[in-house]
Amino acid sequence: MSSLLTPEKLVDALSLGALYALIAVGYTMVYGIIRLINFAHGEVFMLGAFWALLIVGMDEPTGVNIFVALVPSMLMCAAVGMNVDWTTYLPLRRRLPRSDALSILSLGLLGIGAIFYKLTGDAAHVWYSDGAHTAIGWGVIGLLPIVIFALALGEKLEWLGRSLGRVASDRLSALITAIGMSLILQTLAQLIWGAEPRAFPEASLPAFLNESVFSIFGARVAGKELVIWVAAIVIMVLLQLLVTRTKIGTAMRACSMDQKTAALMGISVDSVIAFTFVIGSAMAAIAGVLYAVKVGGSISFRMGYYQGLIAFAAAVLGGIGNIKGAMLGGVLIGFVQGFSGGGNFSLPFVVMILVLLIMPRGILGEPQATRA
Amino acid sequence: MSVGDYVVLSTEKLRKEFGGVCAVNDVDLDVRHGSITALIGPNGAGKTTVFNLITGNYDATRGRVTFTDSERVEHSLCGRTPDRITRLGIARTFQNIRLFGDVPTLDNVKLGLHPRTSRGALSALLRFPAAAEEREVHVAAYRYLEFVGLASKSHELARNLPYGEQRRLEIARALALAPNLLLLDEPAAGMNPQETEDLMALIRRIRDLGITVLLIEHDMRLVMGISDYIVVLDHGEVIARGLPAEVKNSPDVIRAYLGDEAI
Amino acid sequence: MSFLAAQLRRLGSLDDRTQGLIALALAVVLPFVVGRTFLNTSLYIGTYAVLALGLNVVVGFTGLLDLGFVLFLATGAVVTSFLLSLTRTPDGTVQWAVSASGGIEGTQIFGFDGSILLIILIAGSVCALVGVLRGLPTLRVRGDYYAIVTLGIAEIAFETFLWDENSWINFTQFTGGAFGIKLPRADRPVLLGDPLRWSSPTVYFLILAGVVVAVLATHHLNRSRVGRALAAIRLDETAARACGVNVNRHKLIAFAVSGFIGGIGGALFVVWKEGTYSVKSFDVWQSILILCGVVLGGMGSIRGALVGITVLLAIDQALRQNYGGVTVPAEALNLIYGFLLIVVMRFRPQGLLPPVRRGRPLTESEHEALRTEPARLFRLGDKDVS
Repeated sequence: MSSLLTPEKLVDALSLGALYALIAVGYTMVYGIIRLINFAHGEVFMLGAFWALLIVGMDEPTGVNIFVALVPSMLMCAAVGMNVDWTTYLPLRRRLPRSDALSILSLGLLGIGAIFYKLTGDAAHVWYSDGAHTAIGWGVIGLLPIVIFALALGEKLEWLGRSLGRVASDRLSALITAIGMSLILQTLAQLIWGAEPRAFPEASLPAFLNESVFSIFGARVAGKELVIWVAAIVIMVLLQLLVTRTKIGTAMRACSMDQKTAALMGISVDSVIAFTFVIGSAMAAIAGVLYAVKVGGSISFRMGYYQGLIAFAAAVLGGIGNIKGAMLGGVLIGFVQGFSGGGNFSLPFVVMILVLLIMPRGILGEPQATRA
Repeated sequence: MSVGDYVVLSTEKLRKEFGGVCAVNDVDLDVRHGSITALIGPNGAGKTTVFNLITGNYDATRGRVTFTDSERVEHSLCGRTPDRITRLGIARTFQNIRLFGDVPTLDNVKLGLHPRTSRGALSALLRFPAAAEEREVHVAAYRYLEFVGLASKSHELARNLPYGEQRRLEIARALALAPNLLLLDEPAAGMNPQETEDLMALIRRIRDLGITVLLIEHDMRLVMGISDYIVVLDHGEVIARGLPAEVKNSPDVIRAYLGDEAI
Repeated sequence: MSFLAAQLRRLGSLDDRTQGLIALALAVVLPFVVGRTFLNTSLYIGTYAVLALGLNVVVGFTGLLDLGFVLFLATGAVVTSFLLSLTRTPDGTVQWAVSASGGIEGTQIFGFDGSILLIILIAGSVCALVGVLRGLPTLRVRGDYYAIVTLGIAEIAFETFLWDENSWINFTQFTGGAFGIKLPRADRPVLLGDPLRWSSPTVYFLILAGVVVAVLATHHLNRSRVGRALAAIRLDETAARACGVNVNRHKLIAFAVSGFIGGIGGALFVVWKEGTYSVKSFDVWQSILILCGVVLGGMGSIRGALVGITVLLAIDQALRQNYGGVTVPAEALNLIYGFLLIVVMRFRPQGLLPPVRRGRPLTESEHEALRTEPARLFRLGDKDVS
């Protein structure tokens, strides 16, 4: 193991760490507020990469620059993240009978649509050109958040009309729903885009990304690494400012401390939760695109599953619920992953288990007494 | 055995800080065996925190808690987990009732019998002479329900009981632990005068059986009516202690409850 | 139709023992009535019913989400295959060969003849140990972490131990790696002295016996003192501690029992698969499938777990058929599981056949008996009141 510590690995580890930190923050923010492991977060990360890929061209390059594609991808992920909450988690926090039927209907239609797409796509690929293939994929995926959004909106309006009051949500139900949502998004991606890993076309990547920009300790740093570092630092600083200096940030912190009291203070808890999903999902989209830029040929329906688990391990390492902890944990897990040099996710996970055994609250987690 | 034979529970310089806020500040407390001791004070005085420190739900920042069990053996409670402390002989109820709502009342009481029964998982899986102990648990649980006057509700789900009965069920569950010391956290909260009256009789009966009672309560009629000894907390500190009559007239207590102008 | 409904309602009002006996009688008659294909499906269902009952102990009784239950299926199956293939060659070396090509004629070690009952016990014990070890890191944190730890460990086991030859720990000589396991003819299990013939009625009754044992064990556990403690942990950990329940210890008991039953399921899996299977099938979807069965039937309900897994596997089998050239893609089945989890949690979180929680009102004579019977455990204070 003479090559355990090389400058190249340091560069790699820093980039991975920055990306994991971006994902881990999404996990930790949601956990901090609704105490739920949002399994679907990894899938939002995956969808971020796929949407950017659709825009820059899945089969033929459209000529769109990847950084231009990043913005719509973030918006789409933000919409999906918010709607994941509104359609699946919100109904568990509050019971809304009629809207239940609507949102389940929509989810069911989406599933049928995806199966139909897959069936017809397979049987009739003779008369579908690749372009049409992409267009239909676009259509289904584009409609997905819109339909969910519309239904979620219906749900909100219904809630304005008549509320059945809060029903204490069973934690187990929420967790099972979360894993169900994650599996649905993952399988949909597999059905629509297939199992083959893909990469962004060369034409969409500006040349400087793969050129050496400068060097550290003799290791050349490619432009993409630098972009990842700068993006991560800027986003983290902005997030800190958002959480500590703005009104919505204060509301977020209030909700994570005590939702009931926050609601009594006039904070719309559901909106704050939705906002948290939006921020976390947009960050996941950035991480997804940058990850796919860094690791070529990594865009597949499975990428959210593995990277999501690793990022969750990072959030636990830093102390779940703590945003700074997630950043720190992300970087540390990135180092573990980078220096072990692999696509294998077992080592970060072993680190997480050790953390649970030795200091269950994580590095920056606050000691929490069991309240009576 | 008379009141005051020995001290069941004593705390020495008990202190609890929550991130710089001192919720309980150097509290010394002695609870004598066979007494009903009341812990009173305005909201936020740190009463429930004291309970949580005694039962191990919180770890004290500083100080000692000593408990003497029915065999007169002294135990230091510091660093023990809530279930260990319960098994030593301290049972409690909660301010916001914590029953197992989806379970019939009888089974709630059966859970209180858990530490005093011994059947392990293996004998349960293989069904070794199980029936005998299970029958004993069943009979005893029923008798505890009867003691608090809920025998006719043995099959109801706990969450379907009216509020006052839930409180009494929680007491039955605590009694099933055969405690030496019973901690009651606002047992009369939300009760109507008649229910409070019944509750006072129940607490007296429990005391007369030799179980020491330490209770937190805001209902002054109950506190003054049944307490042998009263400790008043304010801002985490003991500001007065003594017999009900003494405490009632203490200027410090009046100031704590009503403000300076009242004097 | 209403006649049927009325009969069903009558069936539902019978007590547990009668219902169980009726179900058992039907199951015993089944192989004499139905055809061979259906019998194979019933072996599938039986094996997974055992797994579902094992999962139910943790998910249903204790209220912790286990997303890696397939680990027990894998461990149980691999241990079983290993024990079956363990032989001593004439030149004295100990060999295990998990593929037909490496079949070696030899003598048994320690006089071990491949008794399937003994193997089931060993596989169960190994899995119980695995379950305890896997649960240890989660004891000091909120129950949610159990889901992520089980998922992660199952995934690590799948990716690194089971079939990856290049992994840092190579277990492929035990698991057959990517080629899978195909036990040689010589390595048949033995049931009570007689070699077990694959796909014979004996196999059916062996698996049925496994289901019955799992049903009885979990039923007794649920009705016992330990089962009550597990329910207390599920409903309110703080209140459970206030009742003197040692939460960590009871969680570990639940993990061990759940693992043991899972291990039995793994051993039965080998019997059902006739010693030929690939460890590649032990992926995360197997965990989800079993979880779906438990959730659909009703978490914490034994009959629910049985009915849930039966309904689910029947749907699964039906959708895997070829209907006039149209087949449903395998991934679409996964989509259905995902939807099922969400829909059931949202509309019927208690499942199809929820556990019966409500007690029966006591009759007057029962009241009287309880009032007069000596109650050793009824003790109040220092004074003897009984």
